[in-house]
Parts: sequence; structure tokens; C-alpha cells
Amino acid sequence: MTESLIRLLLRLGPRHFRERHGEELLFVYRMRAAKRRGILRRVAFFVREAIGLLTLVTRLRVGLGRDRDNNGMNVRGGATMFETAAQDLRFAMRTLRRNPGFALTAVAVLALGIGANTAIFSAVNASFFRPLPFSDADRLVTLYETNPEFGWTDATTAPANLLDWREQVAAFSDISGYAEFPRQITAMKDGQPILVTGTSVMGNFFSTLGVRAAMGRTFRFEETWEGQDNVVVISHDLWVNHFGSDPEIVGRIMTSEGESPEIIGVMPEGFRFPSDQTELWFPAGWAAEDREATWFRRAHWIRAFGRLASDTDLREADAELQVVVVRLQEEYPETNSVMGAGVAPMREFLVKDVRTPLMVLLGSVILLLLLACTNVANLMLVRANDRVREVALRHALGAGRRRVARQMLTESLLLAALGGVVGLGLGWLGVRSIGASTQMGIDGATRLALDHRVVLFTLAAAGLSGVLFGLAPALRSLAGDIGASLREGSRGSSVGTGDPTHRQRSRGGRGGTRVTPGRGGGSDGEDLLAPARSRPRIRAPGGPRRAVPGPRRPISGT
Amino acid sequence: MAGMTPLTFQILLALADGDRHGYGIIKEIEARAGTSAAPSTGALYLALQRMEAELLIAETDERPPDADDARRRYYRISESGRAAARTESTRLAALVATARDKELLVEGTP
Repeated sequence: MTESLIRLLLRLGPRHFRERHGEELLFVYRMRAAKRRGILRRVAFFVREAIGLLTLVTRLRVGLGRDRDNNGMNVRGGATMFETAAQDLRFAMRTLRRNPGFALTAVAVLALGIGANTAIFSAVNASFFRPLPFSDADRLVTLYETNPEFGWTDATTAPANLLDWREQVAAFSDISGYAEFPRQITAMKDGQPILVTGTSVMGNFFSTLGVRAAMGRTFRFEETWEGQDNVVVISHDLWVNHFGSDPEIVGRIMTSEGESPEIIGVMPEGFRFPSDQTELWFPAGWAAEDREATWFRRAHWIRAFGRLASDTDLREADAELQVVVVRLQEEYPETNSVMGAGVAPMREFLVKDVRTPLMVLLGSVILLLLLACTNVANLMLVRANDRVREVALRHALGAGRRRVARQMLTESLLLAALGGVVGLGLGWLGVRSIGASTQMGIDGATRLALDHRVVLFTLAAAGLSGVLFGLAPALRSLAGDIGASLREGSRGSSVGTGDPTHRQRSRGGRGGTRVTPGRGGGSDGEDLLAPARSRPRIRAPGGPRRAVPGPRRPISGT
Repeated sequence: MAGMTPLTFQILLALADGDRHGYGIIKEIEARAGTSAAPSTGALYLALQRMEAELLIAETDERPPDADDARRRYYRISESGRAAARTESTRLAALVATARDKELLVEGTP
């Protein structure tokens, strides 16, 4: 598996290199990988190899550059972006390990903040982003009836109205419906009664949703009607739990409540629309003669939905629907005189009740995360004070200010990543426990899941937090006064940059001296060698630069 | 005076006593300096590419008599590569001598 990833990385490089050295390089990788024992060693090896390869392909792409002179001497900083990042990361890990109390506190605070976000975003994701289990779900719309006298704004429809819409509005390729509330049915299994939850649907329910049976078939429109309705479709769960995954299930007769419908199909695993409880679907079984009955137009209990025809949009469909609505008002004044109707995208309709509460919740957990970031930023700043001498020493040994700032930011990002991983776990636990007691997501359609969106969201939350709380210490290390810190440091105090007199003296005061770092950049190892290559210079203000042999007294400790 | 990168030097050392292929170079470095000191495969090939461009090493069609795998690409140190390695060795030796003078290096320690 890892080899194919390495191969993929290699593909990013230029073709000529791949053709000449690709197989050879993979061979070396394979031989070396085979020697690594233990999962941790293997992961570490793979990460290092991947970074190395990434460096290689980038450098081959941007050109090897003139960072060596003709004798192979290093004339530039040397380390590549990735190498530097890897070094920063290793250094950050060591720093955190040296101070586990700080690291644990910061990770715990972040994990709580990030975990809360993961949990709430999982719910947001299930409601707004997870795909509905229907084909071409964005062409599905919900149709509802309105009645200003009763204050209905999105009511279920009367079957007679629905059937008229189906026949008269051409903007829909089909309109179907289901009873919004599932029903308990007593079925007989091997002479024992079992209770199953069924949903009454119109015959074109499955075909309008665009879902097929996993075994057998789904209903036909004619099976909506009494006399042809002696059929049922069962869910995958029911098939497994009550019928022992019988491969010969299709065609079997099920006995329930004095009837004996034929099982004509089994739905795919996971399909349970319109309710999480649904185990079985049965046809509405309306009597054909009821179509003209007044009650059939007065009783509202069917949730109607339709599929937009391929050449129409929501607005056109709504306009056509309104024409039919007016016609029905005139035709059936007894029941329809003030009856209106409307249409909305199905997903929007299904989540309308949870939208506001979810957004409020999301807002509050984001605030919580900001609070966590503030706390961690405070911790970081306190620690930055303790580290003034270390930072000053690194400056003196040749690390540029930007390099040190980057190091600080790397530490923050590492903390954030750790917080993110723990937070992801915490959030998932939280979501599982909430989800076990409360219905989350769209009933019968989407469930909570730790999918790529949740993981990406968590990563983004962690990354942004890392930048947010790492910015303060990083900026501070950019702005700090190195000379003052070093001098302060050598006198044994660890907090120095805040002292205004020192700052003034070394900035532009009389007689102040200033250590200018040698050439910046380079890797950790090279930084340590920096004084040997280019000595730090001490410059009297206004005076010429002159090199000094070395530190007058050893700089102690970090 | 700027030094050669440690990896360049390691590779030149590995090739100083005979031609080797990529994996052979890695094995030589690992045997001498330990597994953790060996570069990543990507870093090795980057260095080889650079060193080839800088004429420190060259690919060779000849195979050493004890070649363990004749199909691999073998590298050979060039004259300028040998000169560069010699210069670097001298520089390092001078540094070590200074360290010894300042009693930083106790005899007998590696």
C-alpha cells in the first residue's frame, strides 16, 4: 500500500527522471522498507521517505538550483522547505515532551473545544451535506398544501388533490406520496406474532425516489389501489432479523392481520425512508371509487413529493402547480375554496425545523473554540516569556527571526493537530451518545457519520486554531529584542524583553551594542555551525562592523 | 569557509573505494554511520542528481567484478569529486585538530 503511495508521489516528478530512476528508486525504497519492523518504525520510515520524495520531486520541478558551487560547496541556505518543516516538527515534539504539563493542558483544552465542534458539525453535516439515498436527489421536491384559514403553511395533502396534480402538472415527471406516520403491524412468523413498523406508500413511491430493490422488485403505480395491493416490500434489516436472510424470500407469503400479502422485494441495506423505524412498505390500498368522495379531498395525511421533469426548474414547476390549484379551487369549492399549494426542494423541506437550532448550536461551539484558543494563547505567551533566552540564543547562533517565528508556529500547529485528533475522538463519542437517544440527521435518510466532511472540518478547525493561538507568540518572537534578552538572560533572569530601559538602550542608545545574527536560515544542524562559518558581529552604533573571535564567555544553557 | 553538506560527503566517501548503485550507497552509509544517519531515499536521489550535475560523480556502464545486481545503475566518483572529498577531509581534520588543542576532544572517544 505504502509503495503505491510512493509511486504516486514519484509521478509528481518530471517524466525523464521517472523513466531513468523511478524503478531504481522504488527498489531502494522496497529494500529499506522491508527492514523496518514494528508498526511505529514503519510509519516513521514512511513519513520520512514521503517527505524526502516530496522534496525531491519539487526540486526536480523547480530546478536543482545553484545552491552548490562547482566544488559541491553549499552556497545557499541549504535545507529545502520540506526539510526545514520536518526539522521544525521534530524540534517542536522535543520541546513539548520537555514540558508535558503544558502540552497536556493545552491539548486537553483544545480537544474539548474542537470536540464540541466536531459533534455539532456531525449533526450539521447529516442534515445539510450528507447525500440523500435517492438518485438525482436535487431534482426531488416536496409538495405541500396551504390554508390561511387554518394557518397551514406546509400541510400534508389530501389524496384526491395529489392525484389531480399528478395528472395535470406536466413539470413533474412523477408525483408520489407516503403517510407521514408509520404504523405498527402484527405479522405472523412461524406461528408467533411479531410487531413490525410499516409505512403506507403510493405505488410509485420507489420509482419517483429513483431507488431499486436489492432483491425482487418495488411497487408499480397500479398497486396503489385496493384489489392489487396484496404486496409488501421489506427492509434489509427485517429480511436479516426476521427471515434469516432467506435467499428465496421473494414470492413468499407473509401473514399479517388477517391478510396474506406477497413479499415482492427487499430494499438495499440502509434504506429506510421515510422513517428510521420503517421495516416494511405496503401500498396505500385506496378504493378507486373514493376518488370522487368528498372526504378523499378533505382529509390531509399524505406527504407528497415529486421529481422535476428534466427540462424544468422549481419556479416553472411552481407556476404550473398554481394553475392547477386555481382550477381545483373552482372545481371543488366545498373543500378547496381557500386551499393553496407550494413546492420546495426536498432536502430543504426535510431540514427546515432543525436549521435554526443547529446554526445557533454551531455558533456557540465556535465561540467555545475561540475561548479555548484564547486560553491556549495565554499559556503560550506565559511560556514564551520563559523561553526568551532559548530564543535569543537561537537568534545568536544564526537562526533568522522568521525562522524562529516559524518554529513557534510549528509548535502551535503541532499542539492544534494533537488537540484535533483527540477532539475528533471526543466529538465522535459525544455524537454517538447524543445520537443514541435523539434522532439526528434527516429521519429515514441520513445518519450521523464520521465522514470525510467531518474530518476535514475538524482538521480545518484545528488548523485555524493553531494559527490563531500561535500567532501571538510568533509575532512576539519577530518583534522581540534579541540583544536585551541575551544580556538579561546571562544575568539569570528569564523575563527580559519587557524591560523598557534595556529596550531603549539597545535600540538606539549611547554605548549600546548589538549582536547581529550571522547568515540566517539553514537547518538546525547547520545553525549550530553558523558561528564557524560567519561569525556574529558586534557593531557599535554608527561604527564599522568588525568580526570578533567568538563569544567572550560561554553562553550557558538554553 | 563553507563546508560540503554531510550527505554529499557521505556519498563521496561511499564511492571512494569502488562503484556502487543507489541501494549500495545507502547500505554503505548505514553500515558506517548507523541506520538513522542514512538519508531518505528521496534525499539520496536528489543528492545524486545534484552531484552528477556538478560532475562530482558520474554514472558508469562498467560493472564491478563483485556486482550484486548488474541491472542497477552504478555511480563512480570523478576526479573533481575525489578532490572535493579530499578538501573537505582536510577541512574537517583541521577543525578536529583545533578541537583537540582546546581540549574539547578527549583521546579515545569516537
